Amino acid sequence: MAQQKVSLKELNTLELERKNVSTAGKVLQRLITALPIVAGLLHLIEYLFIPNKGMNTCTATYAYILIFFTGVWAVLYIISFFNYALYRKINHDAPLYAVIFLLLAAYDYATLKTGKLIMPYFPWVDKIINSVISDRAKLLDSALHSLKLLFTGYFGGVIAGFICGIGAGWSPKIRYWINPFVKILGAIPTTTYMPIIMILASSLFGGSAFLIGLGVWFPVTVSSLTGVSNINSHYYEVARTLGTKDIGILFRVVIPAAMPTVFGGLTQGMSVACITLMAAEMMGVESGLGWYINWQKGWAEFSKMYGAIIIICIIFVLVNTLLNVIKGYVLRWQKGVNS
Amino acid sequence: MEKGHIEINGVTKIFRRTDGTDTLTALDNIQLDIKAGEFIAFVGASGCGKSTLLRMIAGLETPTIGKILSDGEEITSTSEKRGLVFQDHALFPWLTVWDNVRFGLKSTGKKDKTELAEHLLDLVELGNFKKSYPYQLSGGMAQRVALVRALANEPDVLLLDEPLGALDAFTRMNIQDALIDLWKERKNTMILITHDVDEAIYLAQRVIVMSPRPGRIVDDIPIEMSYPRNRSHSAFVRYRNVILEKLNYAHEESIADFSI
Ligand SMILES: Nc1ncnc2c1ncn2[C@@H]1O[C@H](COP(=O)(O)OP(=O)(O)OP(=O)(O)O)[C@@H](O)[C@H]1O
Ligand SMILES: [Mg+2]
Repeated sequence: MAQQKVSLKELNTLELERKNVSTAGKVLQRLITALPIVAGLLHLIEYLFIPNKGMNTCTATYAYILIFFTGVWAVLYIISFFNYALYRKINHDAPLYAVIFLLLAAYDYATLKTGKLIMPYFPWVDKIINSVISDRAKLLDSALHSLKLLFTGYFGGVIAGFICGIGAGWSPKIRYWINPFVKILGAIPTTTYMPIIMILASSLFGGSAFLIGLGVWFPVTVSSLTGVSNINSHYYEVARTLGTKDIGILFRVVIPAAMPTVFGGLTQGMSVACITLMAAEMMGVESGLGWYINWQKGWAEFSKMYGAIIIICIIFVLVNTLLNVIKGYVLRWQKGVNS
Repeated sequence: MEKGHIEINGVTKIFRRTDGTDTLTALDNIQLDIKAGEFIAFVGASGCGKSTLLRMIAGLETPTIGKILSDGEEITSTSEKRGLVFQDHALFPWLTVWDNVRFGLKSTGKKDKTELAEHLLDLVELGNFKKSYPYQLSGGMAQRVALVRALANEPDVLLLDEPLGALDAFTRMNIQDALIDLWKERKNTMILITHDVDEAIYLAQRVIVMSPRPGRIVDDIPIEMSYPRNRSHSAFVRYRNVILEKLNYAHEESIADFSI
């Protein structure tokens, strides 16, 4: 009975090794794993040695970046000869990264080298990077403004939604008062109210944060309420026969039991928050990356616009990754979440 | 005075259908005295009100007519003195085995009294699984943890609603022995519901046979055999025949009732 601690991961590894792959097959896999290095070098050669079209100029910055990422892969590749887990991971990801390098090379060729995609609408990557670097102070400031607005709205919405949802799931009286709001407000995208906020709110920041919060409030309320109503009633009954009173049951049974469902709402809320944030910044708030994007578009500074769009994408991906990490930690007791 | 005495005084339970038009008599005038420290088992066809009776003893439901007394006091709500184990182990999946087992101790302000919990966990051979989460346990292991969780709170009465019903025959027999060990050790009252006549005879000092529609007590059979009991012993076989006959009889009578 003591030996049931072999994790799923280990089992998979064992199985893979047992499959008895031929030597040629193994070598082929090693070569596939090295593909991103080849693709990165190809791109680098393309960038450095094919002459630019006409007046197009470029700097060494992009070359350094390419060297950096190709180098990182090379280092991982070497380590992977000694670390099987790492090998499995990068062997799996290698074709994807190789294709990304090739696509970047193709884009560079179509813009910088041949001008098939015309300026100013399609700036090459080096140009985007350099405009980001030259405007970094403004971009950093905008990014911080965006994050501040995003998190103010998001956490406000999460706290309100969590309290409303748990309360409504817990007490029919609270449910009576919250349900109509959920039904009416939930059906309408929050961006609909944007013009009202722009006119009425004394502070655009406060108004936008409220709007983001409202968009987050809805999915979090619904998921918390669903989470509470789906709790196996035996949990309550066992807790009560173990001498647990109402408040204890709320904090030690209801909330943890509802958490998996609540996280569904938190994720959904984050995507609503990101949409509302961009809408708010593009429509009225005079700061943040959304505003920056719009502003640069107005000046036809497309490479700055692209730079800001890439930054906003990276921020949203990071924020969602963070949320997933938190989810993985909070729900570590769930089968499959951490295996 | 010993604790864990349960007195069921003329208890009738009537359920109202959800639309309110019809009523259903789940239990009809149940009269029973369960001594402190006794191991008693209920057998009977599905729907004869066994779970309902157990839930009323737990304090999760109230009788429509009559009273249930626990050590002389009327039961009006749940109490940590009366622990409960369901067929689905109902372990809290977000807590480790050890935190599950200590759940009741935290509620009753006995957080530091973990020696008993530790000892019981060892007794059911799960001392090494304290840090595991319920999803990492087999059904039988989880059910043993559920038993320990209930007993760690030192209840005077342990209510068991088909706790072994979902387990395979081998695991079942294992836990039946564990149950006897736990009972001998704690000396608490055990009230067991089961569909398995052998299980009732193997474990209980008294077997109550019930009949459905409405739920009634048909017979009250003391099992006079010493522990550990032998399932192939002639007395065991005799008890089995008697009870099966009673159950059949109860069944036929209910059909007769039904057709009138
Ligand atoms: N909350 C309830 N509302 C309405 N009817 C109920 C309720 N609980 C139980 N009943 C009815 O009471 C009767 C007895 O139910 P109970 O669950 O006590 O039976 P049981 O003997 O435990 O059956 P089983 O062996 O199948 O578990 C059934 O007919 C059931 O439909
Ligand atoms: Mg039942």
